[in-house]
Amino acid sequence: MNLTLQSLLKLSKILSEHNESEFRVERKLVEKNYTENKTGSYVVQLGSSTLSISKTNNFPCSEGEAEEFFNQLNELERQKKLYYQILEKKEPLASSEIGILVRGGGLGKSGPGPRAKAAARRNVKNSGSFLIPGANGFVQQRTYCRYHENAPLSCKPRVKVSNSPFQGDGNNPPPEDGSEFDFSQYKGGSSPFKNFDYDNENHTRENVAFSNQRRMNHSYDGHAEKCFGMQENRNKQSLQNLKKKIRDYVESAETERIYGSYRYETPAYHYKKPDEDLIVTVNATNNEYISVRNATDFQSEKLEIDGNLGYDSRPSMSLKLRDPKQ
Amino acid sequence: MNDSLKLYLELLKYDRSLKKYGTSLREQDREKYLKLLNYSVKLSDYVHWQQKSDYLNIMKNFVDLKIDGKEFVSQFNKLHRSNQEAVKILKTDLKQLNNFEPNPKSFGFTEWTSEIDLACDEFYPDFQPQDPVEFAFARDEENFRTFVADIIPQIQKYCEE
Repeated sequence: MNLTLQSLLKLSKILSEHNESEFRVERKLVEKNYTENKTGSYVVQLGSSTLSISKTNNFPCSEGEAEEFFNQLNELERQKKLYYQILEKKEPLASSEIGILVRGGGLGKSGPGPRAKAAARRNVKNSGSFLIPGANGFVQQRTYCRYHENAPLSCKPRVKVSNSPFQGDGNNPPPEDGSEFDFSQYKGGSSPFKNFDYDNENHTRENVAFSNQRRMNHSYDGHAEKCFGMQENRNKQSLQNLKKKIRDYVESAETERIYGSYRYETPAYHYKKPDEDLIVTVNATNNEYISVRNATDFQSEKLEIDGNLGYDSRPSMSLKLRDPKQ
Repeated sequence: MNDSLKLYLELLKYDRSLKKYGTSLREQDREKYLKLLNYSVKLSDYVHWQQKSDYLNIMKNFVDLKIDGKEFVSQFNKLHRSNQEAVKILKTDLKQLNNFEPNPKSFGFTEWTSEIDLACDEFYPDFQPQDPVEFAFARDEENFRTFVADIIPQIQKYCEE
Protein backbone atom coordinates (compact mmCIF):
# COMPACT_ATOMS: atom_id res chain seq x y z
CA MET A 1 0.00 0.00 0.00
CA ASN A 2 1.53 3.28 -1.06
CA LEU A 3 1.52 6.04 1.47
CA THR A 4 -0.64 8.95 0.50
CA LEU A 5 -2.08 11.60 2.71
CA GLN A 6 -5.50 10.86 1.25
CA SER A 7 -5.36 7.18 2.16
CA LEU A 8 -4.27 8.02 5.69
CA LEU A 9 -7.00 10.57 6.13
CA LYS A 10 -9.60 8.30 4.59
CA LEU A 11 -8.74 5.44 6.89
CA SER A 12 -8.70 7.78 9.90
CA LYS A 13 -12.12 8.99 8.95
CA ILE A 14 -13.55 5.51 8.56
CA LEU A 15 -12.21 4.47 11.92
CA SER A 16 -13.14 7.62 13.78
CA GLU A 17 -16.69 7.42 12.49
CA HIS A 18 -16.92 3.74 13.19
CA ASN A 19 -20.69 3.90 13.59
CA GLU A 20 -20.84 4.44 9.88
CA SER A 21 -18.56 1.53 9.15
CA GLU A 22 -19.35 -2.13 9.34
CA PHE A 23 -18.11 -2.47 12.88
CA ARG A 24 -19.14 -0.95 16.13
CA VAL A 25 -16.66 -0.71 19.00
CA GLU A 26 -17.75 -0.24 22.58
CA ARG A 27 -15.73 0.03 25.75
CA LYS A 28 -17.02 -2.24 28.47
CA LEU A 29 -16.73 -0.90 31.95
CA VAL A 30 -19.33 -2.65 34.03
CA GLU A 31 -19.04 -6.19 35.25
CA LYS A 32 -20.45 -8.58 32.74
CA ASN A 33 -19.80 -12.18 32.00
CA TYR A 34 -18.43 -11.94 28.52
CA THR A 35 -18.34 -15.70 28.08
CA GLU A 36 -22.12 -15.68 28.00
CA ASN A 37 -22.24 -12.95 25.43
CA LYS A 38 -25.12 -13.75 23.10
CA THR A 39 -25.07 -10.53 21.16
CA GLY A 40 -22.61 -11.79 18.58
CA SER A 41 -19.98 -9.30 19.63
CA TYR A 42 -16.32 -10.13 20.03
CA VAL A 43 -14.42 -9.08 23.12
CA VAL A 44 -10.82 -7.93 22.94
CA GLN A 45 -8.38 -6.94 25.62
CA LEU A 46 -6.34 -3.94 24.48
CA GLY A 47 -3.90 -2.94 27.17
CA SER A 48 -6.08 -1.89 30.07
CA SER A 49 -9.20 -1.49 27.95
CA THR A 50 -11.76 -4.14 27.22
CA LEU A 51 -13.43 -3.56 23.91
CA SER A 52 -16.43 -5.24 22.42
CA ILE A 53 -16.52 -5.40 18.63
CA SER A 54 -19.85 -6.02 17.00
CA LYS A 55 -21.31 -5.50 13.58
CA THR A 56 -23.68 -2.64 13.00
CA ASN A 57 -26.08 -4.91 11.08
CA ASN A 58 -26.33 -7.09 14.22
CA PHE A 59 -24.89 -10.16 12.44
CA PRO A 60 -22.43 -12.13 14.58
CA CYS A 61 -18.89 -10.86 14.47
CA SER A 62 -16.42 -13.68 13.99
CA GLU A 63 -12.87 -13.80 15.31
CA GLY A 64 -11.57 -13.52 11.76
CA GLU A 65 -13.58 -10.41 11.07
CA ALA A 66 -12.50 -8.82 14.32
CA GLU A 67 -8.88 -9.60 13.49
CA GLU A 68 -9.30 -8.11 10.05
CA PHE A 69 -10.69 -4.97 11.62
CA PHE A 70 -7.68 -4.71 13.86
CA ASN A 71 -5.40 -5.35 10.94
CA GLN A 72 -6.85 -2.17 9.51
CA LEU A 73 -5.92 -0.43 12.72
CA ASN A 74 -2.39 -1.80 12.57
CA GLU A 75 -2.11 -0.55 9.03
CA LEU A 76 -3.25 2.85 10.19
CA GLU A 77 -0.60 2.82 12.91
CA ARG A 78 2.04 1.87 10.34
CA GLN A 79 0.87 4.63 7.99
CA LYS A 80 1.02 7.13 10.82
CA LYS A 81 4.60 6.19 11.62
CA LEU A 82 5.56 6.54 7.97
CA TYR A 83 3.84 9.87 7.89
CA TYR A 84 5.88 11.11 10.83
CA GLN A 85 9.05 9.82 9.22
CA ILE A 86 8.33 11.78 6.10
CA LEU A 87 7.45 14.91 8.06
CA GLU A 88 10.50 14.81 10.28
CA LYS A 89 12.85 12.90 7.98
CA LYS A 90 13.91 10.72 10.85
CA GLU A 91 12.70 7.81 12.90
CA PRO A 92 9.24 8.38 14.32
CA LEU A 93 9.04 9.42 17.94
CA ALA A 94 7.65 7.05 20.47
CA SER A 95 4.28 8.17 21.78
CA SER A 96 5.75 9.21 25.11
CA GLU A 97 8.27 11.43 23.40
CA ILE A 98 5.87 13.40 21.30
CA GLY A 99 6.05 16.98 22.51
CA ILE A 100 2.42 17.54 23.15
CA LEU A 101 0.39 14.67 24.42
CA VAL A 102 -3.32 14.73 24.25
CA ARG A 103 -5.31 12.36 26.30
CA GLY A 104 -8.91 12.12 27.37
CA GLY A 105 -9.03 13.71 30.79
CA GLY A 106 -11.62 13.83 33.52
CA LEU A 107 -14.97 12.81 32.14
CA GLY A 108 -13.59 12.20 28.68
CA LYS A 109 -10.94 9.81 29.85
CA SER A 110 -10.42 6.84 27.65
CA GLY A 111 -9.29 4.25 30.18
CA PRO A 112 -11.64 2.26 32.35
CA GLY A 113 -11.83 2.70 36.12
CA PRO A 114 -10.58 0.25 38.73
CA ARG A 115 -13.78 -1.78 38.69
CA ALA A 116 -13.59 -2.27 34.95
CA LYS A 117 -9.94 -3.24 35.16
CA ALA A 118 -10.76 -5.80 37.80
CA ALA A 119 -13.67 -7.13 35.76
CA ALA A 120 -11.51 -7.32 32.65
CA ARG A 121 -8.84 -9.25 34.55
CA ARG A 122 -11.42 -11.68 35.86
CA ASN A 123 -13.07 -12.27 32.52
CA VAL A 124 -10.19 -12.20 30.16
CA LYS A 125 -9.31 -15.90 30.41
CA ASN A 126 -12.76 -17.16 29.64
CA SER A 127 -13.80 -14.68 27.06
CA GLY A 128 -11.84 -15.85 24.06
CA SER A 129 -10.05 -12.52 24.11
CA PHE A 130 -6.74 -11.99 22.44
CA LEU A 131 -4.09 -9.31 22.57
CA ILE A 132 -3.35 -7.58 19.33
CA PRO A 133 0.22 -6.40 19.09
CA GLY A 134 0.61 -2.87 17.89
CA ALA A 135 -3.00 -1.95 18.48
CA ASN A 136 -2.42 -0.37 21.84
CA GLY A 137 -2.93 3.11 20.46
CA PHE A 138 -6.59 2.41 19.88
CA VAL A 139 -8.80 3.47 22.73
CA GLN A 140 -12.47 4.14 22.78
CA GLN A 141 -13.75 7.63 23.50
CA ARG A 142 -17.15 8.64 24.79
CA THR A 143 -19.86 7.70 22.35
CA TYR A 144 -22.97 9.21 23.83
CA CYS A 145 -23.04 12.21 21.61
CA ARG A 146 -24.03 11.21 18.12
CA TYR A 147 -24.23 14.81 17.12
CA HIS A 148 -20.75 14.73 15.63
CA GLU A 149 -21.83 12.72 12.67
CA ASN A 150 -23.48 15.84 11.35
CA ALA A 151 -21.48 18.40 13.23
CA PRO A 152 -20.32 21.24 11.05
CA LEU A 153 -18.02 22.77 13.63
CA SER A 154 -17.55 20.52 16.56
CA CYS A 155 -15.77 17.43 15.41
CA LYS A 156 -14.67 15.74 18.58
CA PRO A 157 -13.62 12.24 17.60
CA ARG A 158 -15.27 9.31 19.26
CA VAL A 159 -12.35 7.04 18.50
CA LYS A 160 -8.88 8.08 19.46
CA VAL A 161 -6.42 6.50 17.09
CA SER A 162 -3.15 7.67 18.52
CA ASN A 163 -1.45 9.76 21.15
CA SER A 164 -1.14 12.53 18.68
CA PRO A 165 -2.86 15.88 18.93
CA PHE A 166 -3.72 15.53 15.29
CA GLN A 167 -6.47 13.02 15.17
CA GLY A 168 -10.17 12.81 14.73
CA ASP A 169 -11.98 13.14 11.48
CA GLY A 170 -8.90 13.43 9.35
CA ASN A 171 -9.51 17.06 8.51
CA ASN A 172 -7.03 18.44 11.00
CA PRO A 173 -3.54 17.47 9.85
CA PRO A 174 -0.62 18.86 11.82
CA PRO A 175 0.56 22.35 10.98
CA GLU A 176 3.98 22.13 9.38
CA ASP A 177 5.65 24.67 11.64
CA GLY A 178 3.41 24.12 14.64
CA SER A 179 2.49 27.78 14.72
CA GLU A 180 -1.23 27.46 14.07
CA PHE A 181 -2.15 25.01 16.76
CA ASP A 182 -5.84 25.40 17.54
CA PHE A 183 -6.22 25.54 21.33
CA SER A 184 -9.97 25.91 21.09
CA GLN A 185 -10.21 22.20 20.31
CA TYR A 186 -8.81 21.28 23.73
CA LYS A 187 -9.95 21.47 27.33
CA GLY A 188 -9.37 24.87 28.85
CA GLY A 189 -9.01 26.53 25.45
CA SER A 190 -11.19 29.32 24.19
CA SER A 191 -14.64 28.64 22.80
CA PRO A 192 -14.51 26.65 19.57
CA PHE A 193 -17.54 28.59 18.37
CA LYS A 194 -16.13 32.10 18.37
CA ASN A 195 -16.73 32.44 14.67
CA PHE A 196 -20.09 30.75 14.66
CA ASP A 197 -22.94 32.70 13.11
CA TYR A 198 -25.22 33.07 16.13
CA ASP A 199 -27.09 35.88 14.39
CA ASN A 200 -28.57 33.60 11.76
CA GLU A 201 -31.79 35.36 10.79
CA ASN A 202 -33.68 32.05 10.68
CA HIS A 203 -32.77 31.23 14.28
CA THR A 204 -35.02 33.59 16.14
CA ARG A 205 -36.72 33.14 19.50
CA GLU A 206 -40.03 32.84 17.72
CA ASN A 207 -39.11 29.87 15.60
CA VAL A 208 -37.40 27.61 18.12
CA ALA A 209 -38.26 24.10 16.94
CA PHE A 210 -39.79 21.44 19.18
CA SER A 211 -39.86 18.69 16.59
CA ASN A 212 -38.46 15.85 18.68
CA GLN A 213 -41.36 14.21 20.45
CA ARG A 214 -39.20 11.97 22.65
CA ARG A 215 -37.25 14.94 23.88
CA MET A 216 -40.46 16.75 24.73
CA ASN A 217 -41.79 13.71 26.59
CA HIS A 218 -38.50 13.47 28.45
CA SER A 219 -38.61 17.17 29.36
CA TYR A 220 -42.15 16.83 30.59
CA ASP A 221 -41.36 13.86 32.80
CA GLY A 222 -38.21 15.40 34.22
CA HIS A 223 -38.89 19.12 34.44
CA ALA A 224 -42.50 20.16 33.89
CA GLU A 225 -43.37 20.04 37.57
CA LYS A 226 -40.12 21.52 38.87
CA CYS A 227 -39.79 24.26 36.27
CA PHE A 228 -43.42 25.20 35.65
CA GLY A 229 -45.40 23.58 38.45
CA MET A 230 -47.27 21.32 36.01
CA GLN A 231 -48.64 18.34 37.91
CA GLU A 232 -51.06 16.71 35.48
CA ASN A 233 -50.17 13.47 33.72
CA ARG A 234 -48.35 13.69 30.43
CA ASN A 235 -50.74 13.75 27.49
CA LYS A 236 -51.13 15.61 24.23
CA GLN A 237 -52.70 18.62 25.92
CA SER A 238 -50.19 18.86 28.76
CA LEU A 239 -47.34 18.56 26.27
CA GLN A 240 -48.81 21.44 24.31
CA ASN A 241 -49.02 23.44 27.52
CA LEU A 242 -45.38 22.72 28.31
CA LYS A 243 -44.34 23.79 24.83
CA LYS A 244 -46.32 27.01 25.24
CA LYS A 245 -44.75 27.75 28.62
CA ILE A 246 -41.25 27.21 27.25
CA ARG A 247 -42.04 29.34 24.22
CA ASP A 248 -43.46 32.14 26.41
CA TYR A 249 -40.34 32.07 28.55
CA VAL A 250 -38.05 32.20 25.52
CA GLU A 251 -40.00 35.02 23.90
CA SER A 252 -40.39 37.09 27.07
CA ALA A 253 -38.85 40.55 26.84
CA GLU A 254 -37.02 39.99 30.13
CA THR A 255 -35.38 36.81 28.90
CA GLU A 256 -31.82 37.17 27.72
CA ARG A 257 -30.38 35.16 24.91
CA ILE A 258 -26.87 33.97 25.75
CA TYR A 259 -24.63 32.94 22.88
CA GLY A 260 -22.76 29.94 24.19
CA SER A 261 -22.37 26.23 23.89
CA TYR A 262 -23.52 22.93 25.27
CA ARG A 263 -20.62 20.91 26.67
CA TYR A 264 -18.43 22.84 24.19
CA GLU A 265 -19.75 20.35 21.69
CA THR A 266 -22.36 22.38 19.91
CA PRO A 267 -23.05 26.08 19.77
CA ALA A 268 -26.17 26.88 21.75
CA TYR A 269 -28.53 29.65 22.72
CA HIS A 270 -29.31 29.74 26.41
CA TYR A 271 -32.47 31.64 27.31
CA LYS A 272 -32.45 32.90 30.88
CA LYS A 273 -34.04 35.65 32.93
CA PRO A 274 -31.39 37.45 34.98
CA ASP A 275 -32.84 36.69 38.39
CA GLU A 276 -34.14 33.21 37.70
CA ASP A 277 -32.41 29.89 37.54
CA LEU A 278 -34.66 28.58 34.78
CA ILE A 279 -32.74 28.07 31.58
CA VAL A 280 -33.88 26.89 28.15
CA THR A 281 -31.13 25.56 25.90
CA VAL A 282 -31.48 25.49 22.12
CA ASN A 283 -29.09 24.03 19.59
CA ALA A 284 -27.77 26.99 17.61
CA THR A 285 -26.98 24.91 14.53
CA ASN A 286 -30.63 24.12 13.82
CA ASN A 287 -32.57 26.12 16.44
CA GLU A 288 -33.87 22.85 17.89
CA TYR A 289 -34.86 22.78 21.55
CA ILE A 290 -32.46 20.76 23.74
CA SER A 291 -33.61 21.15 27.33
CA VAL A 292 -35.21 23.17 30.07
CA ARG A 293 -33.81 23.04 33.59
CA ASN A 294 -33.22 24.81 36.83
CA ALA A 295 -29.55 25.67 36.68
CA THR A 296 -27.39 25.12 39.75
CA ASP A 297 -25.25 27.98 41.05
CA PHE A 298 -22.23 26.36 39.44
CA GLN A 299 -23.98 26.19 36.07
CA SER A 300 -25.21 29.78 36.40
CA GLU A 301 -21.71 31.00 37.13
CA LYS A 302 -20.27 29.14 34.16
CA LEU A 303 -22.98 30.50 31.91
CA GLU A 304 -22.20 34.00 33.08
CA ILE A 305 -18.47 33.57 32.52
CA ASP A 306 -18.26 31.75 29.22
CA GLY A 307 -21.78 30.81 28.13
CA ASN A 308 -21.15 27.09 28.33
CA LEU A 309 -23.44 24.60 30.00
CA GLY A 310 -21.90 21.34 31.11
CA TYR A 311 -18.48 19.88 31.59
CA ASP A 312 -15.71 20.77 29.19
CA SER A 313 -15.57 17.44 27.40
CA ARG A 314 -12.87 18.44 24.96
CA PRO A 315 -9.71 16.32 25.11
CA SER A 316 -7.09 17.40 27.63
CA MET A 317 -3.82 18.88 26.56
CA SER A 318 -0.58 18.67 28.45
CA LEU A 319 2.87 19.85 27.56
CA LYS A 320 5.71 17.43 28.00
CA LEU A 321 9.24 18.67 27.65
CA ARG A 322 11.76 16.40 26.06
CA ASP A 323 15.21 15.84 27.44
CA PRO A 324 17.44 18.07 25.24
CA LYS A 325 20.10 15.33 25.19
CA GLN A 326 17.76 12.96 23.36
CA MET B 1 -17.14 36.27 60.15
CA ASN B 2 -14.49 35.96 57.46
CA ASP B 3 -13.81 38.60 54.82
CA SER B 4 -15.36 36.62 51.96
CA LEU B 5 -18.60 36.18 53.83
CA LYS B 6 -18.61 39.83 54.83
CA LEU B 7 -18.13 40.87 51.20
CA TYR B 8 -20.80 38.43 50.06
CA LEU B 9 -23.36 39.82 52.50
CA GLU B 10 -22.52 43.38 51.51
CA LEU B 11 -22.88 42.58 47.83
CA LEU B 12 -26.10 40.68 48.44
CA LYS B 13 -27.61 43.66 50.27
CA TYR B 14 -26.32 46.06 47.63
CA ASP B 15 -27.82 43.93 44.86
CA ARG B 16 -31.17 43.89 46.63
CA SER B 17 -31.15 47.64 47.11
CA LEU B 18 -30.30 48.18 43.43
CA LYS B 19 -33.19 45.98 42.42
CA LYS B 20 -35.57 48.28 44.23
CA TYR B 21 -34.51 50.95 41.73
CA GLY B 22 -35.00 48.68 38.74
CA THR B 23 -31.38 47.81 38.19
CA SER B 24 -29.00 45.17 39.53
CA LEU B 25 -25.42 44.52 40.50
CA ARG B 26 -25.01 42.56 37.29
CA GLU B 27 -25.83 45.66 35.26
CA GLN B 28 -23.86 48.05 37.45
CA ASP B 29 -20.67 46.15 38.22
CA ARG B 30 -20.02 42.84 36.51
CA GLU B 31 -16.82 42.14 38.44
CA LYS B 32 -18.60 42.41 41.77
CA TYR B 33 -21.50 40.43 40.44
CA LEU B 34 -19.13 37.58 39.54
CA LYS B 35 -17.77 37.69 43.10
CA LEU B 36 -21.31 37.41 44.40
CA LEU B 37 -21.97 34.46 42.11
CA ASN B 38 -18.73 32.81 43.11
CA TYR B 39 -19.58 32.94 46.77
CA SER B 40 -23.06 31.57 46.03
CA VAL B 41 -21.35 28.59 44.43
CA LYS B 42 -19.32 28.09 47.61
CA LEU B 43 -22.44 28.13 49.74
CA SER B 44 -23.98 25.64 47.41
CA ASP B 45 -20.83 23.50 47.51
CA TYR B 46 -21.00 23.31 51.27
CA VAL B 47 -24.69 22.40 51.46
CA HIS B 48 -24.34 19.60 48.90
CA TRP B 49 -21.00 18.46 50.33
CA GLN B 50 -22.61 17.74 53.68
CA GLN B 51 -24.47 14.91 51.92
CA LYS B 52 -21.38 13.64 50.13
CA SER B 53 -21.68 10.11 51.48
CA ASP B 54 -25.26 9.86 50.27
CA TYR B 55 -24.21 10.99 46.82
CA LEU B 56 -21.39 8.49 46.77
CA ASN B 57 -23.60 5.60 47.93
CA ILE B 58 -26.20 6.24 45.27
CA MET B 59 -23.52 6.45 42.60
CA LYS B 60 -21.83 3.27 43.79
CA ASN B 61 -25.14 1.41 43.86
CA PHE B 62 -25.71 2.37 40.26
CA VAL B 63 -22.22 1.48 39.08
CA ASP B 64 -22.38 -1.83 40.99
CA LEU B 65 -25.64 -2.67 39.18
CA LYS B 66 -27.60 -2.67 42.43
CA ILE B 67 -30.03 -0.16 40.97
CA ASP B 68 -30.88 0.64 37.36
CA GLY B 69 -30.65 3.98 35.60
CA LYS B 70 -34.22 5.01 36.31
CA GLU B 71 -33.85 4.32 40.01
CA PHE B 72 -30.55 6.16 40.09
CA VAL B 73 -32.08 9.23 38.45
CA SER B 74 -34.97 9.12 40.91
CA GLN B 75 -32.74 8.81 43.99
CA PHE B 76 -30.19 11.31 42.75
CA ASN B 77 -32.81 13.91 41.82
CA LYS B 78 -34.48 13.58 45.19
CA LEU B 79 -31.23 14.22 47.03
CA HIS B 80 -30.03 16.92 44.66
CA ARG B 81 -33.31 18.81 44.66
CA SER B 82 -33.64 18.77 48.42
CA ASN B 83 -30.15 20.25 48.68
CA GLN B 84 -30.98 22.83 46.06
CA GLU B 85 -34.00 23.85 48.09
CA ALA B 86 -31.81 24.12 51.19
CA VAL B 87 -29.41 26.39 49.29
CA LYS B 88 -32.28 28.62 48.17
CA ILE B 89 -33.59 28.96 51.69
CA LEU B 90 -30.12 29.67 53.06
CA LYS B 91 -29.48 32.43 50.52
CA THR B 92 -32.60 34.30 51.56
CA ASP B 93 -31.96 33.99 55.27
CA LEU B 94 -29.50 36.74 56.16
CA LYS B 95 -29.65 35.87 59.83
CA GLN B 96 -28.48 32.34 59.19
CA LEU B 97 -25.91 33.54 56.68
CA ASN B 98 -24.31 35.76 59.29
CA ASN B 99 -23.27 32.69 61.25
CA PHE B 100 -22.49 30.56 58.27
CA GLU B 101 -19.00 29.56 57.33
CA PRO B 102 -18.57 27.01 54.54
CA ASN B 103 -15.79 24.49 54.94
CA PRO B 104 -13.11 25.12 52.27
CA LYS B 105 -12.83 21.34 51.80
CA SER B 106 -16.24 21.46 50.20
CA PHE B 107 -15.28 23.91 47.45
CA GLY B 108 -15.77 22.55 43.97
CA PHE B 109 -18.15 19.80 45.04
CA THR B 110 -21.14 20.99 43.01
CA GLU B 111 -19.09 20.97 39.84
CA TRP B 112 -19.55 17.20 39.92
CA THR B 113 -23.10 16.99 41.22
CA SER B 114 -24.16 19.55 38.60
CA GLU B 115 -22.55 17.38 35.99
CA ILE B 116 -24.45 14.29 37.08
CA ASP B 117 -27.62 16.34 37.23
CA LEU B 118 -27.09 17.31 33.61
CA ALA B 119 -26.28 13.72 32.64
CA CYS B 120 -29.49 12.51 34.34
CA ASP B 121 -31.29 14.75 31.91
CA GLU B 122 -29.42 13.16 29.02
CA PHE B 123 -30.31 9.64 30.08
CA TYR B 124 -33.01 8.03 27.96
CA PRO B 125 -33.78 4.53 29.28
CA ASP B 126 -35.15 3.52 25.88
CA PHE B 127 -32.32 5.00 23.82
CA GLN B 128 -31.20 2.71 21.01
CA PRO B 129 -28.00 2.91 18.94
CA GLN B 130 -30.11 2.96 15.79
CA ASP B 131 -31.95 6.09 16.87
CA PRO B 132 -31.63 8.93 14.36
CA VAL B 133 -28.44 10.95 14.52
CA GLU B 134 -30.31 14.19 15.03
CA PHE B 135 -31.33 12.84 18.42
CA ALA B 136 -28.29 14.41 19.98
CA PHE B 137 -27.13 14.44 23.60
CA ALA B 138 -28.76 11.23 24.66
CA ARG B 139 -27.22 8.44 26.72
CA ASP B 140 -28.23 4.84 27.05
CA GLU B 141 -27.90 3.10 30.41
CA GLU B 142 -24.42 1.72 29.84
CA ASN B 143 -23.06 5.04 28.70
CA PHE B 144 -24.71 6.74 31.64
CA ARG B 145 -23.21 4.21 34.05
CA THR B 146 -19.76 4.73 32.56
CA PHE B 147 -20.18 8.45 32.97
CA VAL B 148 -21.16 8.14 36.62
CA ALA B 149 -18.30 5.70 37.24
CA ASP B 150 -15.88 8.29 35.87
CA ILE B 151 -17.09 10.85 38.41
CA ILE B 152 -16.95 8.54 41.45
CA PRO B 153 -13.21 9.15 42.09
CA GLN B 154 -13.88 12.90 42.23
CA ILE B 155 -16.60 12.45 44.86
CA GLN B 156 -14.44 9.95 46.73
CA LYS B 157 -11.73 12.58 47.12
CA TYR B 158 -14.15 14.73 49.10
CA CYS B 159 -15.17 11.77 51.26
CA GLU B 160 -11.58 10.88 52.11
CA GLU B 161 -10.64 14.35 53.32
